[in-house]
Amino acid sequence: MALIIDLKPEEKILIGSAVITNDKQRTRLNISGDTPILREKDVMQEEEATTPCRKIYFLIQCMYLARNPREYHPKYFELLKMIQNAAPSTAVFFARINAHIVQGLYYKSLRDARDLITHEDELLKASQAQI
Amino acid sequence: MQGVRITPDFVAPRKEKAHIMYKSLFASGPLSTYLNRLGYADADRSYESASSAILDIAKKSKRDYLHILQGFDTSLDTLDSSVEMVQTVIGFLEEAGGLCVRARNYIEEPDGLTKYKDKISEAQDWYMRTLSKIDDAINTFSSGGVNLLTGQSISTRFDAEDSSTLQTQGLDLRSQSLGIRTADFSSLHNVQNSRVDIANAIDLAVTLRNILSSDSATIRTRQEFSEIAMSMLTQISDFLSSPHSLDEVASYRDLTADLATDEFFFELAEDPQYSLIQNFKAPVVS
Repeated sequence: MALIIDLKPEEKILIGSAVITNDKQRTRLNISGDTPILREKDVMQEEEATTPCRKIYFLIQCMYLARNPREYHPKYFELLKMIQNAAPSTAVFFARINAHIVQGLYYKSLRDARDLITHEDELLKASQAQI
Repeated sequence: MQGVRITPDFVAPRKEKAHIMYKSLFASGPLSTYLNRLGYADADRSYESASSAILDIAKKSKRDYLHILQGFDTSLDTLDSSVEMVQTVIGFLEEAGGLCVRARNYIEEPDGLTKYKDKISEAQDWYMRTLSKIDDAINTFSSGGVNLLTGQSISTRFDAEDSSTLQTQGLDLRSQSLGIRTADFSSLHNVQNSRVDIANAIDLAVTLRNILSSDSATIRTRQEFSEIAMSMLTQISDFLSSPHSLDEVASYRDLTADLATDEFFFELAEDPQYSLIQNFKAPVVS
């Protein structure tokens, strides 16, 4: 089944290993096949990965785009271990994220990672309140 | 547990510590929503039920990993031994191709067909024997009850519900299925036909080898990932099921601070992904 994506004027989208920029009008894309697809709003730059869980999101994004996602596993698990040790409640999110990664469903993992970031925001907010 | 704030159970009254963890656990909207969705509606009623919900999820995930890891082992055994067998078949095909070349060289000599009649006939016999060796090897081959070299397939599960699978479709490499004609080295034209048949067969065998190797690499990557993910679940299960005290909020604050220091700094993206993501920053040129 084809994936239908509506692009706003000048919106960028990553398909496979190319970033495509829409022209000045709205466009509808019908995409078939199995290739990484990332919309501009879902893309995180490395300098935006400022917290542990944002780094997790960024690493999953890299795995999604990499020909060999295996090269990111050591960094990913090192970080996961630190986060999970500090906040065991995150294990619930990682269980879901990892299940999707094993299935190769990186896009869904990124969606789960956004929930993890929201959870992290709450933890950090609580930490501010504690101070 | 490394780099986090954990205090022994006797340092503070259990109720107070439990409260800290309980509060931090359910400070988060997504966590409550997620646990509710999974049927842990009462998980936020007490510290014990919260811990038990997380433990339950970790245990279930571990069971799922064990289930799929077993399947990975079976598939990898089949794929690896099939790759070896395809390699053997390629070797036989190359041998057959060599016999075609030898026959062709004899025929191309002046009066070669007559002069080297016996040698050409011998090459033809060896060619047919080599094809038989291929068929015999394939017909007797089986790995885990599956023969990918006769066109059978295997399915590898990536989740416990079987909703995500990798289907590896084999190819029939037996001589008849490959359309290899019976050898007739009585003319240069016929020998060339046999040579073309073998070249096509090698192409198909190499294609199968590539498919099997690629699927094997995919499964290995996910196997390795699953094993580490499972060990992380074991670690968290052990921690939650033993007496402990952890102020998540304080621990997480410490971790965030630690990771912000130079000591913990490391580049996240490798060059190809870094460049690709950077493309989103490039201005639009019209």
